Amino acid sequence: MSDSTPAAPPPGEPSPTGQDRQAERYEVTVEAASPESADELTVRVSAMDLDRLPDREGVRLLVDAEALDRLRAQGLQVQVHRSVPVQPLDPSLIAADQDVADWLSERLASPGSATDEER
Amino acid sequence: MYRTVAQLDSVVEQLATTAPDLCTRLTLPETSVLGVAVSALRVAAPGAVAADSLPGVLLIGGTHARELMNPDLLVELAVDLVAAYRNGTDIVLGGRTWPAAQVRAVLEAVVLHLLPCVNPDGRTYVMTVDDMWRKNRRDNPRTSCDGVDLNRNTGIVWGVTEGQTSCTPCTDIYCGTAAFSEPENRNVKYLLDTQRIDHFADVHSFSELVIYPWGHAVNQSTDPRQNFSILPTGTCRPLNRPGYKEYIAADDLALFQKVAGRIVTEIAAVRGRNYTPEPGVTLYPTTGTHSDYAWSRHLADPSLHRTYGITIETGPSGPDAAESFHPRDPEPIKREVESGLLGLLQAAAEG
Repeated sequence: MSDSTPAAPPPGEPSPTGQDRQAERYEVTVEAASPESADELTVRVSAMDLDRLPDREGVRLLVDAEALDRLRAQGLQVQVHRSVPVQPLDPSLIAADQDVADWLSERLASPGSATDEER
Repeated sequence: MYRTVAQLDSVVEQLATTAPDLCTRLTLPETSVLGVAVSALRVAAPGAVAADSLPGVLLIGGTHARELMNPDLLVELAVDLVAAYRNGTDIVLGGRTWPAAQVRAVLEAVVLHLLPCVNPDGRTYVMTVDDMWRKNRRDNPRTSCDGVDLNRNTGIVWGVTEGQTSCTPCTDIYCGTAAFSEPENRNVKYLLDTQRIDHFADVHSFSELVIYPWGHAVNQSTDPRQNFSILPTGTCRPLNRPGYKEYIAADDLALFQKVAGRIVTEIAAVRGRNYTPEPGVTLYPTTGTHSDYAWSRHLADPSLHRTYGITIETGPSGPDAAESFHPRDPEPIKREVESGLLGLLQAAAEG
């Protein structure tokens, strides 16, 4: 995971309120502050109704600032990896209509193997 | 690159238009919560055999909006199948080649149903507003929070907040007001109700997993009386049953493991990625998921067809959530999972 500087304020320091605070979102991993089984950690985090990412390696979450505060208040060790702004998908990742049409015409018309490159 | 909802639909439409002997577009009975029409695609070889006499496979994607690559993967699978069948071309997926004759044999032995994008409103929202959106776009009354988690909203232990399930609308794992409260999910149920479906796969991202039942409790194969039919629903509380384990017959578990193993093998053949087959609860406990619901149907009502339900989590845990859910280059992941899905089709064809 990233070592990027946590974007969230540490506990006790002033933090934004209202709309700005709602817009804050962080990708974090969580560990128990004391020796505790993974199952117990899972139960504690599950009870908080958070957006847990499907990561087999550990408890990885996408949380807003309020949830981040709650995690810390539980005495859990929270590592903030990065802020995750609310923003649309990078438009460069969205296909153009003409490209989709050209791809489909080519795939349905051309004989020969469908190679990875053609896709 | 990721296709828009309209582009995905255009692929389905053109397949049905270009290859009507193979492909049938099915307009599903419910629009999304924002009124978008939803279509499925049936792919079956022409022949004298009645469709219902063949094993059926239903593949769905896009349940969780931000998991963008899976709807693209499913329409590309359909295109590859049609091209292979019509043109006699092999399907080449990295290091795994599916010979045209093998593809033809599969298509002549199964009926494939694809619902590429269960949650069109969510996908559009990801592309236009928030690339981490997960749920549908339900306007939850009396809250400022939108959306229901469609993979917590089906009729299997619904509304029991075991693990990653919640009754709180503002959470990303909100189960909704009732089982199948969401029209997007009623479309999936409609397909299960009206088609012969022997194998079902809900394609999600991420973590390179092939998941089989159960999600709400650890499996056991010794006590059939300990099963979901005795569990309450809609409690908005965890199970709170220490020691409870969910029954799955040993031969059914063996079949799930065999099919999951087949998928894992075919995925690995493309570029060596090792997906892990495991029960759903191993990742984290859940209730109301599509794949567990598919499997539970015949257990709850023996008059219903037996459907083996799995969930596939495509792609690795990337350097960050965005790259994990919608990598800049999803092609290698799509190709390996396409091979895995072909393995599932082949397993279904073999019975």
